Amino acid sequence: MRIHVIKTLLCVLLAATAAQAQITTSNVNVLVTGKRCGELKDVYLVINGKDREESWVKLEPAGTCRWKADLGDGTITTSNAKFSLRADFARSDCQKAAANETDMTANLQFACCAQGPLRNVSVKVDPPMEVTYVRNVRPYAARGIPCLEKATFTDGQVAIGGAQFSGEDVYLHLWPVNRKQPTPGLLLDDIVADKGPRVLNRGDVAQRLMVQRAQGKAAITPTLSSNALSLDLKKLAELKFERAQIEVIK
Amino acid sequence: MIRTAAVLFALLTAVAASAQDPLFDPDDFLDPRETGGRPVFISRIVIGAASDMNGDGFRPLAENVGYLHLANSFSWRSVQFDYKRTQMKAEDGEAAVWEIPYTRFNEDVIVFLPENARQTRNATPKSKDTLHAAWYWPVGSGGGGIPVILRSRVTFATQPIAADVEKLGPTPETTTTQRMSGRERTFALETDTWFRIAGHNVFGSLAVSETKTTGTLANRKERALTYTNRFPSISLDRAKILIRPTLTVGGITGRDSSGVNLVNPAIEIFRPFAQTGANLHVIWSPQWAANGNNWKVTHQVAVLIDRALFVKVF
Repeated sequence: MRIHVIKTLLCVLLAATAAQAQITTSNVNVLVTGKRCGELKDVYLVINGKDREESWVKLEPAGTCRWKADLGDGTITTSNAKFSLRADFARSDCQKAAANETDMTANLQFACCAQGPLRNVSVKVDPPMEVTYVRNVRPYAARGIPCLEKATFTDGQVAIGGAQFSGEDVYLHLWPVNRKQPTPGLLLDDIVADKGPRVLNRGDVAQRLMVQRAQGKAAITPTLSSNALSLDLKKLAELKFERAQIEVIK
Repeated sequence: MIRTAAVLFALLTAVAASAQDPLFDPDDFLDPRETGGRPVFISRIVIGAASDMNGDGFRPLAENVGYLHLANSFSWRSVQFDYKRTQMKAEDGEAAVWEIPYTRFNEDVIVFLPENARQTRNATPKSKDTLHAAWYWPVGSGGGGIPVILRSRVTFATQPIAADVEKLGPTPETTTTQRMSGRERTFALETDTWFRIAGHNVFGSLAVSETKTTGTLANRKERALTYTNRFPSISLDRAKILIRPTLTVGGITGRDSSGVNLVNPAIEIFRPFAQTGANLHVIWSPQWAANGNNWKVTHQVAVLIDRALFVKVF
């Protein structure tokens, strides 16, 4: 009986502590560790997966390897907000901020910098149509958490900045993204080549989607589903999709 | 003494769906996320041929067969219903049969027949009807933020069996033939499985099934528990060819052996032709099955073409 009471009190205490650890704030402090952190110049935060460059938050220097940002009206809650870092030659995985209740700031600490080259990828879809890319970012540091980052372009001209294919999968969506149950889409990792632009027509896109499913890269059991292939061709025809040109621009 | 032996050659035709999907039945997995919540109806025809074909899931028939298969799938959100109708023809124009090497006088007395009396091809199988009800469900995520979708499925299949039974008398003149009408029914449960081992995805399918034959002189019931590991396919991008390996292992009752008595690797080569909408499949599926301590292997090779007749997204 006594043990139960102690357990219950402990749980309540822990829950209360956890509840206290959550704050809502507009002030974010960023610490970057690692030998190359001093080389970082322009540093940005991607918050809650909003990956269009216009949505990136530019950080102000606040000391050696330290930056800060005031989000103004755009407050975040530390328990559920997800952040990742963008800089000239690096990107981070995603993580949640630690709450500093004393000065009411959200504190982030990223390790600089993950291995693997960064690529800026350009996609041009013909005819122009709404296209979304989704970055499925895997955690590669101790504090990391999996996350999805995305951006939508209404004119079919897509720019994907700083893609690091060793730590993330980048998917192109020609159809609306289901927010509750996101689907992978067209995986660009295997398509992007440094040797020049790659053009995919309707059949090529359907074939690539088929390959993804068959190789277990579509978040389903590996399958050679003829029905899925027929559905892809049908949907691409409905979109009047003709081709997509994919190119590494930097 | 007149001895009337019921020589029975019952016939359990090809491809009654046991736990294993028929070789000729293309995958019909449809990720509900891809349908965008819209109902989808797809009707598909499959024609093909196979050598050394197995039937009834895992029973050896060693027949060369032709095959016609019509599959209708209706998907809406996380559920999918299929109705499939299949017809198989063996090389002699009749259905493939399953060899019964003994005659059974009653439950206790079994007389093994001489080799030359063990087979008949007098069976005429009817079309087989198969119903699937499947639901898709999300689980975890494969290393990122996108959940994995798995499918569970209930299958019911039924197939009439018309059997000619020869009753042997002391002389050929007294041998008579009796026509019997029976059926075979299969009930199966199947679910996809997914594990993460050392950062790698391991996908498979676990299936249990019961196949029951009634109305023949060889009534029987067989249960199977199988696991199929679905390895990632190999893609030959330039040729647009996919090569998919799978491995099925399992235990089947009524084989005078316990434990694992089935090993069935398979390699499927898949080539879509986007211009015509047709897909070519070439499948090699050797099957090792144990009867008692004896393992027998059959090397099934199948070639088939499937094409959607109708694709409607509502």
